[in-house]
Amino acid sequence: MSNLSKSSQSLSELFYALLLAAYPQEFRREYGREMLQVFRDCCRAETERSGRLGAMRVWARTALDLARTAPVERLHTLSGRLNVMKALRTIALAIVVYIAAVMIVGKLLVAGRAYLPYAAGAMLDSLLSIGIAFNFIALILVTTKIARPVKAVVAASVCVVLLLSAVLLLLPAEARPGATAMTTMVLSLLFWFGAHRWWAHRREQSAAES
Amino acid sequence: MKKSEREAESFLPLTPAMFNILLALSDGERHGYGIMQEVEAASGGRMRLGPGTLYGSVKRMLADGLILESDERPDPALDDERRRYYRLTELGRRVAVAEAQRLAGLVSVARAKRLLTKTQVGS
Repeated sequence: MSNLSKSSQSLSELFYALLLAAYPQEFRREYGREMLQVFRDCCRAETERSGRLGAMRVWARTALDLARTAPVERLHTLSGRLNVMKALRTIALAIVVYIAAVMIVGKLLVAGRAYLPYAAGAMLDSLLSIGIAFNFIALILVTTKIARPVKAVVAASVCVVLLLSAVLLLLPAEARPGATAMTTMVLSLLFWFGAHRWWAHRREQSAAES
Repeated sequence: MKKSEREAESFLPLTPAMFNILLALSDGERHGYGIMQEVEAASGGRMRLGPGTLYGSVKRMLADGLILESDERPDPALDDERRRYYRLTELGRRVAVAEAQRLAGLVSVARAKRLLTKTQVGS
């Protein structure tokens, strides 16, 4: 190969290397070097076969390929980010729903407390408050795929226990709940753990079957 | 239908680029340029993969478990060690078979409707 064609090939590779910037950064990092290598091989083979005309044919094909595939790769990267946005939107919506649920249920409990015996009222209170916290933590872990469903349920129960312990420690001694209220809290924690553990197990089983 | 067949059929229909890459890798591992040459030769020059199409498909096929990056070089003395080689996985082979069967089914329908004669298939 003459010095002139060697230098025009190096220039051609340099230009293609610059054009690779059209692809997303992650794609370039993973395959940029290989794409350049393949382009170099194609140029060399076509130049040896048909001279400059061959090199021009490679350029025409590569330019078309780049114009078609770079936007597709950009879209793929964007859709990966959109999945994260979708998870965040679900969590934001869940926060709004949970706040509304706490307000509505709180009002209903205050109204209904007059007709309920103390133990039943305390049980409902703890079922709802622990349930809201438990569901919210589990939802975040499952939606963001930080943990698989079964692990998310265990992690959510640990978080709720830690939260409850922190609240009880912060409360002044005289304001801490009595033995009956503590029992209802433990029972409702067990209820949510059992219900979610069953749901997570079913979900993982059906995923494995399909 | 067996679970493995269901799994293979969930990837169908394949894009022409993906099917051609699977076919190129069906008789041994190859690097990127090797795949390009094999696809071009097998299609009689009618199918030419550009670098973007080739590596875009490779990326998705690696993620789907249809191909694997090979650790070994067929002949390290003859080749540039920096090149990455790819090979078919068992799932990739099953998907290639399923796609070939799907296309064969379409060809037989075309033949039954007299859109295609035996000589046209061979040409």
